[in-house]
Amino acid sequence: MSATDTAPVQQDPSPPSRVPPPAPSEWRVARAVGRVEARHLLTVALVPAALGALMSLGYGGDVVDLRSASFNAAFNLLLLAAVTLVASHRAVTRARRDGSEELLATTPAPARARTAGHLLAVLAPTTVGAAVTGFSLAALVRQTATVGDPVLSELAVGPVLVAGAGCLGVLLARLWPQPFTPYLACFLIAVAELGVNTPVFAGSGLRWLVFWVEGTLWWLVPRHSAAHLVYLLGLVAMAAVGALVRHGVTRRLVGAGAVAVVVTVVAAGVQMRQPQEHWRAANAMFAAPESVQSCWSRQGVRYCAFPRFEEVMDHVSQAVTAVRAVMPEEAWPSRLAVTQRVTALDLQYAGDAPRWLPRLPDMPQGRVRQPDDGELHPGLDFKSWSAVQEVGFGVQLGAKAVGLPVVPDPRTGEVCLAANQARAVVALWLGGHATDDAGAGLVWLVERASEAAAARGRPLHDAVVPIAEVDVYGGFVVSLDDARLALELLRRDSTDVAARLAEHWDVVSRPTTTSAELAQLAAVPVPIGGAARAPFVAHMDPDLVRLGAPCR
Amino acid sequence: MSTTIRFTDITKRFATTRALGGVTGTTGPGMTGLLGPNGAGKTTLLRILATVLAPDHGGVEILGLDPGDRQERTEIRRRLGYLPQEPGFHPRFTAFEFVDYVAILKELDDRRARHAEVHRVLEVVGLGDVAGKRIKTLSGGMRRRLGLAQALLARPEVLLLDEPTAGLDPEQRLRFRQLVSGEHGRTVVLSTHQTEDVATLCGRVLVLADGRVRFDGTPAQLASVASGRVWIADAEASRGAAVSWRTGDGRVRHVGNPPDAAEIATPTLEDGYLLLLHESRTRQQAA
Repeated sequence: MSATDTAPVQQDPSPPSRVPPPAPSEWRVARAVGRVEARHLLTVALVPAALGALMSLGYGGDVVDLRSASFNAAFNLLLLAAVTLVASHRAVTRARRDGSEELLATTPAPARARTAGHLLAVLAPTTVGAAVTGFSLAALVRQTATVGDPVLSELAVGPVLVAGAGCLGVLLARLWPQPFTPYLACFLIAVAELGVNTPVFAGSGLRWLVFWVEGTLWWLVPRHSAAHLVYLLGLVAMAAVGALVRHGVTRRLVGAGAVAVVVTVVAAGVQMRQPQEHWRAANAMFAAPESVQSCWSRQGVRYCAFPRFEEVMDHVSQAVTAVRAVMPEEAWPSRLAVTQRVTALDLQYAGDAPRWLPRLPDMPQGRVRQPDDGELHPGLDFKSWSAVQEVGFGVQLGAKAVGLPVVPDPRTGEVCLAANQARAVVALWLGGHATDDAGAGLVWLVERASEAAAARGRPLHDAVVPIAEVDVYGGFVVSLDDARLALELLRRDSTDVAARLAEHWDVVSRPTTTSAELAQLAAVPVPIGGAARAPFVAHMDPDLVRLGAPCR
Repeated sequence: MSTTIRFTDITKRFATTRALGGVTGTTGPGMTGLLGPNGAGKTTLLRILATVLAPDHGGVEILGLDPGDRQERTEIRRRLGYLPQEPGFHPRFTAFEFVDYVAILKELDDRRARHAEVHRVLEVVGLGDVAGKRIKTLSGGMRRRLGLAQALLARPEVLLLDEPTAGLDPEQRLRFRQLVSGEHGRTVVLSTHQTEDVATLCGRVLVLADGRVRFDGTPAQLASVASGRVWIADAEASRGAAVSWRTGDGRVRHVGNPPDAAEIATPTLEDGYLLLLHESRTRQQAA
């Protein structure tokens, strides 16, 4: 027996009070229950909330579009929502599990007050969810540059999902108190989410009927953020009213339930509506981009951007300026236009979009190719996906300066082979200055080409490096040795290299100057050198780009 | 004596089993013991009085209120403390949290006052210093006292205790007696197998068997049922005895008809209870 087992007990001498205190309202009991249950929910919500916050730290890139980030912010809270659903269900069924139902049934507070308390308790993880969302947004803004403004109605989706999950947990507990119910519900919801968050449903209004919808294509597929939020709030209210109705129907509950149903149905209808004007504008982005773009000039360069993407072009403009800073003045193109186009990268999640988006007949079938119109065409996104994209854009600018093709032949899809050409190395070196990360992008391309050669059992020397992939395919490829020489140059003091290149610009930009000659001019070790005997390109889509003749 | 609880001809069936078959009785302030063998209907009767169950037939009145009426039932619950046979605790709650939770449901909505009341009842049952411990770490005796603590919340006018001393060691039972014996002016109904508890604590005793009241009176009256029919002998068996058992001093106590060379003994409440049950069974078998 422990010390406490032998602790003295007292008599309870106080006579029962004959005048009971006035009974508090059911609402006050519910609030008190809610406070207690909220503490318990919080203890189980902390881990998934922390994970959600950590996940948000993993996002990134140099530039984050806050609109896209707003659409996807709820993803960080899906685990919290699932845990809240299970925890709410278990909290409601706790008395049943532990056998205290009989005891609690003899208290004056009706079961409805307990249910209301459990519903109120859901506010705790909801608040945590809102805090995680706020933290994620603050972390993004703090650690990266941003474009666009956050969409509040999208940011609210995550916390509302947590609230909805909690209310659903309470409702399910009152309908089906069996222990497996919340897990089954989570599984079914996950299946629905995964099924609908695929391109197959992207063109369908039905897509918005699930709780969380991935928002990568937010600029392409119309989305009524406010209506979706109201729809979710309506569902939350329906779940809450449903849980309370289990204890008896009152006029007030019927009224609240009716309002919730009407609001949900109306909001569902609104969010499923597909406005024609949106599709017209979306089609114009492919068919006649210039008709919907705004243009301006800066430092002699003409920039054109799609509506809502002007800020992205600011970052493109900085890359242009950075490359120009190390380029001899004489090499700078007399007329340069940087015009935004929808690129392969922008549509990488659209897949075979024309099939599931019949309202976009002007969207390119198959692959996206850049026009060979002498202009540079960055996508809707810049500096947010990978450094390869950044170096690719910079090399295009360099290619224009040294007279190499900027894009593959639009008719044949062929890229020319610029192996062992000094000007190709110079273009790579220039591209490596586009952004702080561009050089890292070039390193990555070199490593990947080396790995590809090893994996195929081909001589390393034969591997050639496409200057970029996925988004911007330049019009030429270089040998692995050329790319290594460019990296060596990038490791040197850029002012010194720029001065040497400027001094010998006529020579280095000549098609006949070899990489070895460039190395000597720049006073760096000469790489192995020489042209590949059987060049091959790894990681290039043969349907899009094929290796052509040597660049002239 | 004023009547606090009145039940008239109440019956209750569970599927094909008759738990109560026309039970009638009253209780007032003070302690009433509810004695009976397993399956006698004690718990069913207490659950009906605690407003957990409604009788199939018959009337119940508690504190002048009808538990069949929703509002009056709520009022009864406000003035009632109930310790079920198996209260069922939330093992991850602390002792304080559990009692506090029940206190909330007992409509003690002022937080400070409620916490003070929770501390009070925990102190009363001697659990003040383990208030912050999780229930799963408490011993069985402590849990029983914890159940009693929640029943004492808000100083109920009616206290219904179902097997409150089950599982308690003698020392703990003694402390329980100390605890509830101080109740004055409160109606306490105590269901138990422990005749000692009833003899020590109760001014009144009801014996239930087979869903019917077999006795209603004072403990002394129950003991007197066996008056002149309790014997001490050396002989092991007696054909006429209702029950016999060997006592600590090596002799045999017989309740019922005397064996040879027996000495008459003073009956106890337990003797009366056992004889009552025996005769009840005999009559039933004969019927």
